[in-house]
Amino acid sequence: MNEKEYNILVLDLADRLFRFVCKSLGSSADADDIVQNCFEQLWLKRQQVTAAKAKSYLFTIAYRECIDLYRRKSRRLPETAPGWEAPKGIGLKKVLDEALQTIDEQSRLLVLLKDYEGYSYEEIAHITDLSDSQVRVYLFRARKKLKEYIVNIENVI
Amino acid sequence: MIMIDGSNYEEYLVRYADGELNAAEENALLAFIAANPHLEGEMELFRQAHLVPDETVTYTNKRLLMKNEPKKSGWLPVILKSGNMRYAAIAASVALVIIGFAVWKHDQGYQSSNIRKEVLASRPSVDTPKADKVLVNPQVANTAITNQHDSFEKIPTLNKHNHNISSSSSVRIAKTRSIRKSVIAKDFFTENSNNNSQNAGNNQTTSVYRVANIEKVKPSEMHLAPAVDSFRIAPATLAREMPPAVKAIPVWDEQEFSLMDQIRTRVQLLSQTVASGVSRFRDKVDNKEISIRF
Repeated sequence: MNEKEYNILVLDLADRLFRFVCKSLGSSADADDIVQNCFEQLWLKRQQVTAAKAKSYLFTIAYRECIDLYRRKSRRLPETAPGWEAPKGIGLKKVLDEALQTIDEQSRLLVLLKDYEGYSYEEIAHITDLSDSQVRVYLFRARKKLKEYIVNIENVI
Repeated sequence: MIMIDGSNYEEYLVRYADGELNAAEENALLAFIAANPHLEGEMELFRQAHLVPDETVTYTNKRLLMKNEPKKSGWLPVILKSGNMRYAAIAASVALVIIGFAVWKHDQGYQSSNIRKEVLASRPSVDTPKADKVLVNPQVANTAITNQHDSFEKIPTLNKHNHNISSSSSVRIAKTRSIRKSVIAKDFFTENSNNNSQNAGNNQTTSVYRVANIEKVKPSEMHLAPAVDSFRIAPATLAREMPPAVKAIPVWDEQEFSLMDQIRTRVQLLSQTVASGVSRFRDKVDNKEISIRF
């Protein structure tokens, strides 16, 4: 991968990587650091990583960086957003954004890889270094929780 | 055989919403939902439990991540790698070939002239007793000049009455190399004059014609014989008589001149086309209408 291909990847993937990390961490500052770190590592490994594999490589690094950050800060979001009250007429997107914060970090990352980037279970397993069955279980639990959250909000409204 | 029941239908609903079921599993699930229509609402909830990326969220520091690509400046690579300039380069090559052909043709014309001169010089000279002095009828000489397309110069008349030269007097001219060439031409006129002299009935003419445009004859090379009676031609006069022109005239016919004009016109049009093409290309590059990538 040369400079030109690398720059094209920056233009194409930086926004998507930033959205993924930012939504996972809930912090744009942390997401900024992780995105920079991801592309820095890609640049260092440019001789080994081809442009076709670069996207998977970037999201793998981002996933690991997010897990490491979770562990370092030992920051676990509460099961429900604190002080959040569902206003009437709120959109589904807003509800889902809030519901996403109620699930564990691992499942959240998998949901984002699936919904934001459209990876298959097999590809997610490759990126996260999990088994297919683990991915299936994590995503099943996450979806069920999101669904229950939507149902509860509908009940409130 | 795929078995979907109340214990595992949610897993199938999640995988269906994620698009991870194969055809057989999907058919089995749809059949199960058809048999249990009260589960359609739950299937719709799983379908809605998917996030949509917010396209308004962007990473603003992309320029900091990008690396400087090696610069390739200069017009030569631009010209060679540009599709438009390839045609310009081809046109320029064709123009060079045409110009080269024109120069070659021009040189060939000069060479033909020189060859003609050499042929004239290599002809054996005929030394006749009266060859040193050529007395011809001007009318006949003019006719011969017209027919042979050679250039001759009429020199001032040596009139015996004016200059007291007897009809038998002659100016002996030494047979230098230059003069020998003129003698060859003189032979032609001598013959013509002899053929027409009887008709004219007068051997004494009033004009003398001498070959011109062959070589410059220096006055020092001219030797007046002592036989000249009471008359000597001053060196200055001889110098004036001998044409100083050395210029060889290219032997080109009308067709060659016409071809040369056509070539010149086309080369001019081609150069103008190339120049305008380069100008337009540079304007587009300056206006960023064309992006150049290497």
